[in-house]
Amino acid sequence: MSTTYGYTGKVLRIDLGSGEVWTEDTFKYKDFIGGEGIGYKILWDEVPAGTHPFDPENKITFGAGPLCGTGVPCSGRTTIISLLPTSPHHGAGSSHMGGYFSVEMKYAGYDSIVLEGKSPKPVWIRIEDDKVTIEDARWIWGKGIFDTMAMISSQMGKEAQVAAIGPAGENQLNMSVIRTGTSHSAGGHGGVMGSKNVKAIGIRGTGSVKVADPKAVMELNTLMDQIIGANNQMVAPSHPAPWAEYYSPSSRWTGKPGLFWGAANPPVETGECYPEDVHSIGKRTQKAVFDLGLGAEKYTVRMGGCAHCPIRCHSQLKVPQLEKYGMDPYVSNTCMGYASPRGVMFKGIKEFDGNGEDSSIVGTAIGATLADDLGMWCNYGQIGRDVKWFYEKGVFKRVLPAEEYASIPWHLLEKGDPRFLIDFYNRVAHKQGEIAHIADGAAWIAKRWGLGDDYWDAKENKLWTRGGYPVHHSNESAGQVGALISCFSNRDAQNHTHQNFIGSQLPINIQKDVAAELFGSPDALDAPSKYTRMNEYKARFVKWSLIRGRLHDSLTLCNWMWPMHFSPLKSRNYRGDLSLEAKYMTAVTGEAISPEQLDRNAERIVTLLRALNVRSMATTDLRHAHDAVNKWIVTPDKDKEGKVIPQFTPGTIQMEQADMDLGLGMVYKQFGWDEKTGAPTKSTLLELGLGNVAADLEASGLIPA
Amino acid sequence: MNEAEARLSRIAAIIQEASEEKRLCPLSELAGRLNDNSQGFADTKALLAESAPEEIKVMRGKADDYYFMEALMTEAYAIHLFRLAERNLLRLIAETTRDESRIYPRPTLLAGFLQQPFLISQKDLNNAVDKMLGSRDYSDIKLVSASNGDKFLYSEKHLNPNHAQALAEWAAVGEKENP
Ligand code: SF4
Repeated sequence: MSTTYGYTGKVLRIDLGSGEVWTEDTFKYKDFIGGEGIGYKILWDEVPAGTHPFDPENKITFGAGPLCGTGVPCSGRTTIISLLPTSPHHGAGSSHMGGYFSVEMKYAGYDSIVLEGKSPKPVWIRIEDDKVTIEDARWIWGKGIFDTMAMISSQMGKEAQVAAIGPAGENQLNMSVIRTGTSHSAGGHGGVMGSKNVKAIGIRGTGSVKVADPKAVMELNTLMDQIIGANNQMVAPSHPAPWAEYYSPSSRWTGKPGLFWGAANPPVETGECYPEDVHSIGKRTQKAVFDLGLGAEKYTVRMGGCAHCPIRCHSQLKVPQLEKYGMDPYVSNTCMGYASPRGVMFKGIKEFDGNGEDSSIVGTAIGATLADDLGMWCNYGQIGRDVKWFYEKGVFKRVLPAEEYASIPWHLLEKGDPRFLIDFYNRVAHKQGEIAHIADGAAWIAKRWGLGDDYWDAKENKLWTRGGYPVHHSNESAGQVGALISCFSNRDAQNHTHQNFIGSQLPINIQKDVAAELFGSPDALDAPSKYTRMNEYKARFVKWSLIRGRLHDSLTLCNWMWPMHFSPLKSRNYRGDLSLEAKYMTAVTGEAISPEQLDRNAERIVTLLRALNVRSMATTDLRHAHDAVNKWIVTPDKDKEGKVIPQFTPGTIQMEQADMDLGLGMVYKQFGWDEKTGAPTKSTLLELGLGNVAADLEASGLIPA
Repeated sequence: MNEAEARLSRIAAIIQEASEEKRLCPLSELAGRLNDNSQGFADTKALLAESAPEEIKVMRGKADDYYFMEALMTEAYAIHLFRLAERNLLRLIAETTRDESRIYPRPTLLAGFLQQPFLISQKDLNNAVDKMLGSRDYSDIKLVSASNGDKFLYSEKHLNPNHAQALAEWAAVGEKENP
């Protein structure tokens, strides 16, 4: 076989029903780049409309891209693609995990792994290079993810990487995760794995990923050293620093003199973290302090993260108080993994023994560990808002059987005792009682529990559309840009392309200058909470963000870092390099590709997802059926006296219906979709090389007139 | 090397040393370390004004001048140190607030003044803010609180009250709930 660069050249296919294992050529999917693109292509070609996510006919793809495993910075992500159980129309979606799984998969020789069918009994999949076996999983079924990983590693060796589900996935909770490493969770698809009776995939690869031009990759890495910032590509520190012209307390670049990984032995000072000093990049983001407050410094052992990432955004803690709760004191997590349990404990957290110091950290760590072990997903924090709403509005009291309601230790929630989390997460993950349906997801629970407009339209519930997913860098992130981005997926948008742009922590004028360079006008970007009406340039910003999001999830690069809009260096005029993805692709694969060509390939993936939605919703009218936002988003705020604050006045981030309608049309136009309905037109599908998609849709009467 | 050049080289080394230590170098310190008398003091100032290399920057205060090496310290950081050196707490807080309301724009987290490089004590900070909010010289500076109790200052010249309130709430609460 001839040498392939970047790609391993093989997709591993496993039919769990028949036990058949085979490989196919990756290059037949090359127009879809890799990772997410290949996953959507497989869903289109092979999973019929109307399939339930838990049906054996559904398929689940673990995808890596051509840059994964090559040493390109922040290229260790895995994109998992399947139908989404939380989606009311069971639309397609991706979930993402970091860690080292996809890199090991590439070293074993596979660009993607596709599972299909259903095993008649619990199994796990053992992959050692080209030796692939389906193993009995009865001895690990029912176990938490931590034990599962340890037990599989005891058989395969500590070098093996494991992706596993917990009881939540086994019990086919819609809101469950697939996890790898200590803290890398892909939310949304745990139940799909559970429905196939697959507990885990253990993988060991002893090969390598070939790179066409290693010298060019090294040179690009040197260029990256001048551009990479801290987590979320924030390029200004959180504090005034002698080397920095700008700073912002919101920055994740928290490393500074006097701030430590306090539980390391000996403690490690993060230090000044000069932007020219490549050796301190991993100390820039003291994420424990960012996520949990200054009190977390003393519990911080170190930062962890994904393969080939110098940033390390997962804090690894030792919280000895956890032993009082019968739990391991070592905890690792990041961002929403920590924020979510705090949301469930909406009355605050206070330790049961009255030792109030660091209660919030202790409670958060308990919740994060439980969710990670049981394999529960929070739907980007929605679970906490739902607990609050259902408790305070009497929904739980109304829908839970009286005996069940009485058995739940609400007094612990009231007191802020984190032992409530132990009870709550276990009930839900083990599907004990009616309360477990909270993990069906908002769209399903609204039907089951008869929740009305008040639930959907409450601002505090943050639900974006009737698709049942919440805000994730939506209208608070660049106004219509974030708001419109949130309309196009079947789950929280998970798009950091625009968020990293506005989150650079640089002054608004610099950001506007770069917006003008990219989108044709500084008006593409408004200052935070000072919004103007929709315009063409914002629509270009939306299109670009959606495209780069799909691109990164296909290459696979971390969209929590990429693209590189900005640099921390004044000598670069704070400019990053937005052609880096294409430059890396060229160097890695040996085939020259321009940023425009690469973006065009990613645009194909955006439109393919759009077509998948047309198919699963069985309508071309996505404007109304899919993209319509909940009322709270387009309802003006009121001031303390009850006076309406009109949209587009400083201080309010509320959107306006007519403006959103206009914005949707502008974005549809940018993509060449039908401006009235938002469905892909036949000509656009053909131009993108999606002729089979056009033909299928046409045959079903799903091409807009 | 003539005498003036030698002197300049020595001066540059002292300024560089201070910048490396993340502090400004006051003219008074230069004079002291060069054992200058009052004439020498004036000569040093003149020498720097005439022949200082490009990378040496100066900030002129009420009672002293302050030098720093641009390669080792940004002007933005030097301004913080300069305002601290001038020992006018109200002015330091107000000017920092005005800058941030104008440039980013954002309200300024009061607790930030407790941290490096400011290291203002809580008591001094409280007193300064109380005085500032009642002073005509600082009538544009306003206080705003987020729902978690975090306090921020902003300048009305650059941010209106609703805007400042929204930005403060987001920074203190919203951002943490939406990581
Ligand atoms: S920034 Fe964080 S999530 Fe992204 S690759 Fe690095 S460690 Fe992983």
